[in-house]
Amino acid sequence: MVIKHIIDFLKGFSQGLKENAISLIELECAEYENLFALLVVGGLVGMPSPPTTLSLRLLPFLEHELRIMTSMTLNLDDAFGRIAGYFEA
Amino acid sequence: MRVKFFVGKGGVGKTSVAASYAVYLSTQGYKTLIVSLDPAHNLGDILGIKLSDKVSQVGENLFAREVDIDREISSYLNKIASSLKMTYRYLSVLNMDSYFNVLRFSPGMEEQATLESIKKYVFSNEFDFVLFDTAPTGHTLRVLSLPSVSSIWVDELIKIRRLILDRRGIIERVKGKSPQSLPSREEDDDVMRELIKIKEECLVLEKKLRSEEVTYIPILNAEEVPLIETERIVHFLERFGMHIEKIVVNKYMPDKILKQKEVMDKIITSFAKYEIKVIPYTDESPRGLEKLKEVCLACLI
Repeated sequence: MVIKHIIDFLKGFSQGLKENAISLIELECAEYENLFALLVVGGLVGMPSPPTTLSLRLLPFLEHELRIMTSMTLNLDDAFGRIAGYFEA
Repeated sequence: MRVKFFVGKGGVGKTSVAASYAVYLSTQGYKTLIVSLDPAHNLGDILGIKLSDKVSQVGENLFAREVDIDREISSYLNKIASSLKMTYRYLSVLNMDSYFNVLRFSPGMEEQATLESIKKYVFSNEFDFVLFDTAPTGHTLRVLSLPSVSSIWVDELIKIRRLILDRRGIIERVKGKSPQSLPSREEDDDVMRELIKIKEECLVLEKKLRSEEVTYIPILNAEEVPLIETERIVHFLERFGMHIEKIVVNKYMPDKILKQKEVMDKIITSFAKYEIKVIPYTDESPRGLEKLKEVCLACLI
């Protein structure tokens, strides 16, 4: 019984370490997804954009990236706070 | 199959020169198609035959078509819109799917539609020669550069996509599949598959437009502004590795306009490495198959 608790604790601890290690990669991945969506549909916010047809052909597959881009855009006011949070500054 | 693009500033006589070539080639026994890509069509007027958006036979071995760009845009957009409508199918319940039709007014659509028309013929072996009478310079250069520009964009997007998939793969290995089950391998990723497909299409078209069997014939008048524009065209074609067959100086009349002689000297200097053909000015523009053939035999061959 005690051993089970110890094993559970160690599993939880190991999971915590993994979560911590992966969180920066998740942030990086989300930023790349945001960047990708921005490049494809940048024309909507006045950025230079790829040929329209290229955007149109990719658009039907970009639901996830657009959601990431939208949520990041909403939190732009506190972008530095968000980054600082990741580095526990 | 051989392809010739007739390019130049508006009003220099691209259609007449292209039509002359087309008539001449058809009389030599070559099955020839001439396609007008200029939204302000006057190919039918010059051939003396009413033309439509469909390929019609206008003489022995000679076929012609005036591309209806609006219809091309519609057919191209139907493909895109059907894909969008599939994704956002629920909109059709509210009868909102028709709003995708506004996409036809997106910038760049006309160029893409023109390129689709070009693609239709440059890869077909139905004719011995296909001649394109193009729209004025700016539009044509945008059309011809579209595969290369798209290619550059696709390369960059593929790079970023690979970084995304790489990160997703790491996260998946540590935490297991994400709740949204996002793809982490290139072969499972719809976006990457579409990017690779676009890239392949661009490469095939770029290669074709730079191949030996596709040549470009810039046309100008012996005047300063057309000369400057033609220098720009030639520079563009050289930069993109496209083959210039010859330069045609149309409506040349140095006896009446002395300045033309001066500009002609500049033309000869500017385009020294290319063959230059000269068509003298005539009071009446050549119209009809016989007259056009005469022009080609007298000045272009």
